[in-house]
Amino acid sequence: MRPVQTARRFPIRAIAGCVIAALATAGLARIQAPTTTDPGTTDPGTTDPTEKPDELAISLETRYWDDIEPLLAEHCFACHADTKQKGGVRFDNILTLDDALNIADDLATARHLLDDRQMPPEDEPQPTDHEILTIQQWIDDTLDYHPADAPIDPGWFTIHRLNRTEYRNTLRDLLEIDITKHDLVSTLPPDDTGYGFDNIAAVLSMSPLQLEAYLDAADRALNLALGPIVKPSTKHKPFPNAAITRGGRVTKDGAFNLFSNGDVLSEPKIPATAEYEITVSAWAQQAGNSPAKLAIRVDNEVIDTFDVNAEYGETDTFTIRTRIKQGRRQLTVGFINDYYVKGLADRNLTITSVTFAGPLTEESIERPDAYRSVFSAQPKNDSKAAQRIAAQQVIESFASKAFRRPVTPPETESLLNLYDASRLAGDNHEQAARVALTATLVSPAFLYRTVENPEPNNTEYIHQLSGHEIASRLSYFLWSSTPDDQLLSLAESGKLTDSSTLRAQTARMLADERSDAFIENFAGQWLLLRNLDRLAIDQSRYPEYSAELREAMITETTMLFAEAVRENHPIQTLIDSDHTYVNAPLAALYGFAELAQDPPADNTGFQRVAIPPGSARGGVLTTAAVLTVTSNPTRTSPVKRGYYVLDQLLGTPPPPPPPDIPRLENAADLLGENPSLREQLAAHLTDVNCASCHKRMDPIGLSLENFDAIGRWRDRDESGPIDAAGTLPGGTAFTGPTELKQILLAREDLFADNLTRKLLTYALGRGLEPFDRPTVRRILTQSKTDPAERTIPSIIHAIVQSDAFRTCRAPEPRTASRSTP
Amino acid sequence: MTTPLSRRTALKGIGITMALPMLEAMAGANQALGAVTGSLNTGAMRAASTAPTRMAFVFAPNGVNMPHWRPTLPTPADPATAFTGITKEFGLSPTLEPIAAIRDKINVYTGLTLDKARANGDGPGDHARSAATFLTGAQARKTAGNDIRIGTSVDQFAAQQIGHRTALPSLELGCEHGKRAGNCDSGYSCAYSANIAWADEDSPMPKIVNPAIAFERLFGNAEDAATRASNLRRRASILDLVLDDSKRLSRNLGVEDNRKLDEYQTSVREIERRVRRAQTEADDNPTPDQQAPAGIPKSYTEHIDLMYDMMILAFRTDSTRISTFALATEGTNRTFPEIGVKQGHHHLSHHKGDEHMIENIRKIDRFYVERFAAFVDRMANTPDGEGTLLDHTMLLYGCGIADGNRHNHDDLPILTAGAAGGHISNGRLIASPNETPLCNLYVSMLERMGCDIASFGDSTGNLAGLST
Repeated sequence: MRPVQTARRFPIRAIAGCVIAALATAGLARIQAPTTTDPGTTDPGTTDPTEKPDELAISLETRYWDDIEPLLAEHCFACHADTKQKGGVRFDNILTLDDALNIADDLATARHLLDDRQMPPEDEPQPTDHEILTIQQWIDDTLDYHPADAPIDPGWFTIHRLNRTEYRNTLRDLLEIDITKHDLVSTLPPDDTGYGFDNIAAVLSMSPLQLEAYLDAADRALNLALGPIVKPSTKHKPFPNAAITRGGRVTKDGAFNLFSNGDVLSEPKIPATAEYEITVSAWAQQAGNSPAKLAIRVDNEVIDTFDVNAEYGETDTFTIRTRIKQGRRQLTVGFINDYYVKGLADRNLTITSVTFAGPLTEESIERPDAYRSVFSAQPKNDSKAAQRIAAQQVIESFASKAFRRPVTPPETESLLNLYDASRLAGDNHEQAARVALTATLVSPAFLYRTVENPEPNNTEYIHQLSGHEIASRLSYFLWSSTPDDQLLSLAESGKLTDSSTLRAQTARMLADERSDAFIENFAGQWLLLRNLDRLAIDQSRYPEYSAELREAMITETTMLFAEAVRENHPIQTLIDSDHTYVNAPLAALYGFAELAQDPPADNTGFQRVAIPPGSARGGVLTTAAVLTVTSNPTRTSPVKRGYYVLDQLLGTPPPPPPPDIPRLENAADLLGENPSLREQLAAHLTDVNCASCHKRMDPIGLSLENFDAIGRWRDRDESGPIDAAGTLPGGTAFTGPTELKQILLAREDLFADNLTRKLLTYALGRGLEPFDRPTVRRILTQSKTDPAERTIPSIIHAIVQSDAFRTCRAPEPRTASRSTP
Repeated sequence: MTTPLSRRTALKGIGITMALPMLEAMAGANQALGAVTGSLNTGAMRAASTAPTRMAFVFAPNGVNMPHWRPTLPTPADPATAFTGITKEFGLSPTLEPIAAIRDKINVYTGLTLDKARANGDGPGDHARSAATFLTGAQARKTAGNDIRIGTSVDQFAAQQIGHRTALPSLELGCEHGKRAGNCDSGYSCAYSANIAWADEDSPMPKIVNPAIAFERLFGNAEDAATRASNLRRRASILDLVLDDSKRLSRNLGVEDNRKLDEYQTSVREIERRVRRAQTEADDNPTPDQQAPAGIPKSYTEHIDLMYDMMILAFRTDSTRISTFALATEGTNRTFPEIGVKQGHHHLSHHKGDEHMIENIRKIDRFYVERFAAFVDRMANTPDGEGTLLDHTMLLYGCGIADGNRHNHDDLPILTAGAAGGHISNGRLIASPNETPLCNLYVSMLERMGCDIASFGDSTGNLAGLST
């Protein structure tokens, strides 16, 4: 048997910094069934005489054998025991509390099925209400079981590659890049998902394709953030490729002789927007009343004009200073007052040299903000030694931000070695420093979040995450991004590990707009909004459906979730609310009155509107996004909608259908012409293999049939008026979506449990295991402090305070794979 | 410089012209490599071919409608048993009709099985398993994420042995990424249904779905030689450093975290190899003189064709010799407006005997076979060495589920095309006894790639009779 993973496995000494306490923990690793006595199975250390028996465990077990086992034997074993393990579930092998905890998920399911009177099946003898209550109470107490004062098993932390979103947001915050304008992750393959989320450490793998994309993205990001590599210089260079565009010729000695109005043009690539100097030397063959004039232009804008008084044998020199924009620019020097009277007068201009210099000063260079913060340390002078000192400062400060913790001396040293090597190979100071910065952005310390565990292979050792590790865990949970300065400095000072600081920071982070990332990523995945763009709604059937409408749908549902987070609403408002958010196309789809001008729509065109009387909207389930993502391309799917409610909202998904479903011949024969979807689905109930699950799904889905495949209200479909009434297993009858929501509201316990599990999965970046039950139960208890209602923030606070979030242990080593070739 | 091939011919019909430098040098290098292959391939080097052997696997999701796929078999002597053996005398089914024009370049297989795609005690999840098992022949560990385990796929097995001979050990292509939210199949992580190529038991090789990115991966960005050289130099030293970093990090991590970090280190080493190769062979690298594909075409047909073209381009320039192509993600519910199929593929595959749905499935199956046949035809018209690209390639096309309605994994729909340098005879039906592991065919293919192979996945030997 797989060892039971309960907190009892963890000797208290394991908590770093804790006093070793002798507690009744490991001694109860095996609670003996009355029929067996096997002291040999207990762990070493259980003989510690200071340990006392775990009264709670013993009482749970006594209750099992006295009250529960006889009921299970009478009502359950016929289908769920050794001989016939229907649905892969058996209850006859519970001998110890460990056995019970090992099938905690099955027990939890059984508890809900008993609640709904779905099990035992209708045609079997039913337990009394009191008996059901007895079983449920025992299941609750068993699932809640946790030895007093023993640490909760926090589970493991797997090194966590930044996923695409996290990577992008991190670059945004680290380098001040506007990611709405620059797609830095287009070459990164999307991340695989597990447990419904794309931030599960175990499935975030690395491949050459990905690493190469990270390398390219690091280069691109640094170029964007820091701008071009450019140094100030006052040394003049001739105009590159200068040529006469009109009105002249190049003389033998390389001067530009302009004999009528004309230009000398050069198109240099200006490395950075900055102050430059242009110097022109010229002489003129004078004629007429005024001296020859020349104009200096940048991109056809005249910067200045000068009179050239010098004549043959001398030159006048003119210098201008001007700001020139980065990029390829047209610099021209023009002769602008030609004067010519045939045989009498001829004014000509000869330009003997034209040069430019710049950027003239560092201060004049237009640098992106990130440049100033990354390169805040500038060399004191031009010596290589001074530059190296600056490089070290630049590298240390950047790497400490990028690594989300102080960079270590060996890390700095190897980055500096890289700088030195690049200098040796001919790179200048800034170039070489940038090579080190690029290396920082592809280093495993940047790409992976890690937890340093002094006993990384000891599954019994519970380790407290450091302040910096907590800072990262928190910021990637709530911001999908790197910790900000405040978090890092609290980590540095050791305060972040305090519960109260942690609570205050969590509140601050939820209020910060960066928590939009949590809202979009969590809601987008939990509520399946992200799958909408995969669904090819048949536009010949639904011409109103467009990319714009689809985005509006996603926005509405996301806004409802965002409001629940930001305004700390009870989680029930996700199921039903008296208002929603619409823009004009959505209001039209919903048949709402035209949007009022007051309150004004936000800049996306959305505004909060009250649900009109008589409308069945309100809550996420009846938003167009959810109703559409659960439809087929050409019609609604009551089965998918029913499954959605059971799976995404309540966390009690029925198993998938068996393959090779035969045509239900006799059922089909019963159907008349043009059968309604309801009549077709009724066929499910005629087949015993389909009935047990479809009895749960179909009535829920059918109650939403008034909403078509893009979520628009309808009173009838192709086959006639919609009948949205239904009866759930256990006999609860209801008519339509409004009453469905009432039923869901009554199951707040299931909804809260499911939402908590999803949030915890997302927060930890790993799937939940049976040993996480006590954690989940604690979060549920702590998040509902009377009289306050349970809210998403209250669940998030309880998660952040939990041991699972703040501590970890090593994972179990892998057993040999049965599939290794 | 004269080349045995017109540069344009190589790329004709794929909308790209590029300067293919030093074809002779490539041919020379191939000759040398061919000799190596020959020595490993202790069989008859039948054709005096100097071109290397290439291998690709094309994966189609959701199985097929078998009654429309199954070729008509000769009547066996004993009518009680199905035909087994090898014959040129077989009829093409409606779905296979598109290969009629090239049937002498194709083999059709029956009786091949992926036993490890079956539940074998793990319950539902045939879709996820079939993709995961398709090229690995291994049983996917049932998990939604924690502790993923499958096995090395056949393409990566080859890439790990002979991939170092080319710039890219392998090229993973696809037309569709996995689902973006929710679960994929009955408790299996989406990693199983979204990936068919696996570098080891828990490291999938992600695919490229954007042809522009595939092009860039093959040929890099256009940059001048000096910039390129200094960029390569900088990149090489960065890779050195991060490898050291990862070693330092590794010392503080446990066994399990080190498994993940190992993926990182392997990736660094592979890119280092590429960089070194690029540094020493700077002039030989093909440099495109035209724009890369603009992006993902709107039409699925064009997208598929363009990805096939990227594969041809990769093979043609000997950038890689091993490739996989997932036409879509297993379990996909995509629609096919171009052939009038407006309902989702997966939805249709469970047709419950409905004639209309079956007809739509037949259309989809045929659509995929048509695209494959067109690709094979282009390969057959692409000169390579002393023959055509197809002469030196083996392409496998198939599904991990046989009948999409039944979720069975025996008698899979499998085709191969190409002569593998004269080591595969074509135009035949190769009917194995049912339950013959598909991996036996993989063993035979790996042998023809010059790999050192004793067994693969659940193979019980090689597949007899591939060459006559």
